[in-house]
Amino acid sequence: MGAMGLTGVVTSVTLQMLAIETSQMLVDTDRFGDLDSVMSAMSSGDDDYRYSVAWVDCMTRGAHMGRAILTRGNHASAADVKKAALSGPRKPRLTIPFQAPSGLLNRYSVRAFNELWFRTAPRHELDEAQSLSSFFYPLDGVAGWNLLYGKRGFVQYQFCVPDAMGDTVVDVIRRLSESRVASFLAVLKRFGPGNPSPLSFPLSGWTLALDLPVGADALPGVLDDLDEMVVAATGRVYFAKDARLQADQVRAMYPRLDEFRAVKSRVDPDDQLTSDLARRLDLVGK
Amino acid sequence: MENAFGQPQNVVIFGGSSDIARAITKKLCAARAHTVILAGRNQELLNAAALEAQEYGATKTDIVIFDATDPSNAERTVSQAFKKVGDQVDLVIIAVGQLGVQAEDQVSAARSAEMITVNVTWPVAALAEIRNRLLAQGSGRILVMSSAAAIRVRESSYVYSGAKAGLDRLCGGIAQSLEGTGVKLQLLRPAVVRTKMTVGVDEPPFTTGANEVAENVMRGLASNSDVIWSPPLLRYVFFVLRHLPAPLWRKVTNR
Repeated sequence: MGAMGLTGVVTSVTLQMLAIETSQMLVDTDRFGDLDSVMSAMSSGDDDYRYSVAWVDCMTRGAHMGRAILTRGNHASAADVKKAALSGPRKPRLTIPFQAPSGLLNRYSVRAFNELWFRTAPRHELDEAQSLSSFFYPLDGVAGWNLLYGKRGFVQYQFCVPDAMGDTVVDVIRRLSESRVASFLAVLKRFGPGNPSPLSFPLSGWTLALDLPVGADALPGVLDDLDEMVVAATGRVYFAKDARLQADQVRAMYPRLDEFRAVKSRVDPDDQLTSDLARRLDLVGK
Repeated sequence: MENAFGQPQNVVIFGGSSDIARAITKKLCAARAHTVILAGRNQELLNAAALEAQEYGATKTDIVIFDATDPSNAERTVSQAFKKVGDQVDLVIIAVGQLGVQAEDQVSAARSAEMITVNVTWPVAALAEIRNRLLAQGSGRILVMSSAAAIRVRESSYVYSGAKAGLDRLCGGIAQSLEGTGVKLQLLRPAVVRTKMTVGVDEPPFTTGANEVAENVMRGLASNSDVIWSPPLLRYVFFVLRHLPAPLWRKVTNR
């Protein structure tokens, strides 16, 4: 794992699964008016939950910059939930019927959406039973949500920084909110350590994931700025979601790149396996 | 490989020493371009443009000399330029063109023919080879410099704008033929641009500088639109102008 598909083909997989008794989650939800308070709540309280995710508003500036909704949950046991049973995911309630015009998702409409999302979340709610799909994939409640982005589509940006560099998350959200590029609610999570692979993405600390509609002139430059902030914080950007990173930054983000290249040249000396990502980020060298 | 904003790494530019091509090259290099091959007629100007590309971040530049009055060299020129990239080519720009002098061109068979050769025949011959190569590669983007003047030919510059009209319509066909192949052709239709080519030309409304055209190109690459207008408002202006009755069109253009 963690070789971006460049070292061979997976022919056999052994998966360790987690046994669950019901298809329900017990979810605690909290609303926070600013980024610092949600981050300190996550630092201190996340250990009580198996899953924790904060939806952060990256468009509000000033005192409420980075306001967030924190949802944390555990799998519900049969005893937790009356009439609980295992059931498949529910069908989406809403479907986007056709590709929207590009530009529908601009900073005004996205700001309105973020406002609505924030206002309709409970201030503080405990032990709410939610289905697996609505807890893990809230966006899939709207079928074809990707069509909302129109022909130009969107880019994703996810980075992680070590625990001690939590301030970088604040700086990134400030940069985004000041640049006024439209960004949907960002997803903030805590990370555990990565796996031993030289290109493993996670590191113990924070990770922030963004969905950004393509179209704003400032967006490419803003994301380049974020790269620099992430590198300065000894963090890295996630290859699996990347569509615009610069090759120069990759070496700083993934200091074990040469180790990966050594493995690559051992198992695939003729570079039979390559990809657009590898070409764009110079992963296999020239 | 280009990124999600249509910003290429490896670029080939035919007509690479033109002011508009240079303005675009600078922006491409400031973004992601590291290999830039410039093809054109004048070695000195091409070297200057290559140096400029390096100042803006290109790490590998080279030049190819060719003469657009001779379409028989088009295939060879394209193949030389691609060879110098030595990797996949992400973006090919055709900025070959000649404005001519209407009063002289319209009375000379030789000059009329040359205008069509430089503005249509050479670019179209080159496009055939570029199309083959990008299709074989399975990816890539072509940007062709047309002109807003191509939309409706007017008396005062009919040789130039007629030639651009030919190129423009032909490229529309190429663009359609490329749908679903991973290769894309985009047309650039600027209004009059203040450059060394247009010194002494009257400045009609919507005249811009080369830098503004380059900005619109960067936007157009990101948005994937089939036609990049510069300034963008021209899209709507020409929607009206192209449908004007002929007598009215003459009135508008003979200011």
